[in-house]
Amino acid sequence: MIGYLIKNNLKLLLRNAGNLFMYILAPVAVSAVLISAFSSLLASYEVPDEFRAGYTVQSGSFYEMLIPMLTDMASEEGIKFVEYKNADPEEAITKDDLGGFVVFGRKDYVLYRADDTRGQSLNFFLKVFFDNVFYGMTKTEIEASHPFFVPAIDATDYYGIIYAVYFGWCAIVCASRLLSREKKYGIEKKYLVSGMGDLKIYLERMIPTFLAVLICNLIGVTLSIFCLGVKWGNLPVSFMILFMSVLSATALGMFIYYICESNVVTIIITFMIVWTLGFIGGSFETYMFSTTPEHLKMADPIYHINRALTELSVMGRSEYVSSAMIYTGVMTAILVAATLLTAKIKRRIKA
Amino acid sequence: METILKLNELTRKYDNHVVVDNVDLEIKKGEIFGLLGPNGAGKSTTMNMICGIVRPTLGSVEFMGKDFGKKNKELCKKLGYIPQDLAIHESLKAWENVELFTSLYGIKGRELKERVKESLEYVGLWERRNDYAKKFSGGMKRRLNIACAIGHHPELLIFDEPTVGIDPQSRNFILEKIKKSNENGATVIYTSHYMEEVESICTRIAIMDNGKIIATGTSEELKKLVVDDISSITLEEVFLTLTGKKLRDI
Repeated sequence: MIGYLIKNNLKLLLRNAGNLFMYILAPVAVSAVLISAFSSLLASYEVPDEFRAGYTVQSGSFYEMLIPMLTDMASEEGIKFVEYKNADPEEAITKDDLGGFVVFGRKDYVLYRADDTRGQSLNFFLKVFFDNVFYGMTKTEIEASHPFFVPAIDATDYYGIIYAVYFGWCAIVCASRLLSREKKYGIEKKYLVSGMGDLKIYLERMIPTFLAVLICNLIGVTLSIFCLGVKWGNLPVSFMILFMSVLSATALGMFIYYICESNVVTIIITFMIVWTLGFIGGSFETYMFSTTPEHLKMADPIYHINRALTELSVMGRSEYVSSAMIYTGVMTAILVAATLLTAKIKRRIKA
Repeated sequence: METILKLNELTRKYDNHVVVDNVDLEIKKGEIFGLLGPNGAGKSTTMNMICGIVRPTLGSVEFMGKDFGKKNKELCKKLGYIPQDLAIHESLKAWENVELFTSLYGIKGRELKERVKESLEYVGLWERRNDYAKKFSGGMKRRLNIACAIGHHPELLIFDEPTVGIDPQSRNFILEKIKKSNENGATVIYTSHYMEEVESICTRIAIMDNGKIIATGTSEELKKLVVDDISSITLEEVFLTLTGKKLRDI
């Protein structure tokens, strides 16, 4: 029974030209404009192909045996390590134009970074290197700090990805005509007369909206690949993140609708929330350059999604994949439960 | 005759305002029962309580001998509701609309397809099944609205002003179809502000005002409440005599 409802509601949503424009063409068009406007800004964030870094190793250091492997792998990444016997790291960075300087102690290392993308790149390289080297080893205590680093991404990939996510978060707009018609023309009343419960009524709205936005989003992503040359990195993982992103966005929109019971108010509130989340999460101001406090970013689901997808695009992997999936998954579960509870309470009040 | 629907002391209050006040009514199987009343009389609330959308503050609704207060899926399948609003999706084709609403009652697959065809043929829209509802005239939309509510073969059909804003041909067609449904065994509850319609198809009529049933009977019985010579009065005059001529601004 619910299958026919979902099928027909999905047709309804996909036949709406406004939806096709908003979720397929608008993200691509907005991305294209922003790529053109901000390509030089993001280019300044790119790491040079090759640079040098200095290091000293304390005698008897745990790291001594790893140095040959480290320098070999670094040279493959365009980082040439130069050993110093006795040098002041900060002075060496300035004097010899180094991207950074690593002081390997007995059990820990200290990284001095140049204040540019070379320093960030070196820091990132060391983190990845030691993560891989120590993977599987147990009871090894290494004291090293890894400052925040975001790998460079060009404007095409950044805006191509970010705006597919951003428009997906406005998912409730897609359902607005369906919801208004159901309310205005007594269609919901007919559902109730047929004995449909709140869960089924919720699902006949939620599932088609989610599917319609996801389908449009994927068409938009395909267009962005072919028309703009956006690289999505690891496609299956990126798809899963987009899937969860649209699901949680739909759940959020539905929750707001069930609270307000007005399309206009729902759309205004949703836009306000999504705009704020997008602002913090890098949809307007690139999160690499943003001065938003780190704890605010970490509390923002769009930040996790944006960061996971952009890092997947640049590196093919990201530590933010799991946080993005868990965040959106938990958010969806809570919002669905809260919406059904709201529906039940309101139904009791109305009846 | 067997009772299909019984309202027992049905009352609905909103805050301290009594909208439906202690209504007792019995509708027999096979009847076309007209429910009349000015705006704000309590018809819609009564209908909503019959359909199970609104819970009575007091009293109960018995449908086919069972309490309909707690929604019973099997009983829901025996009820068809044609709202005054055009409860159809304009961006769906005619057959898709009928499929959507008929499937609500658990009908699927080949049987669903047959029911869709049967419903559309019944209202004369089978030839236009592939047209979007938005391309239909007002009368065709009303007919589609009916097709959407009859696919599950309900035993009790509730028509809430089904002929508002349509041409005489469409109105005549709909009234003929209501009579045909009744001949085929369906019991009908019919509300309308068109008195001549009610008089022409209803076997029994109740007039409601201020939340109460103020008169029940056949058209002739209602006329006799007002004058002895029933040929000298119309149902509309009876209605105005019983409910008054004061405007009902709600």
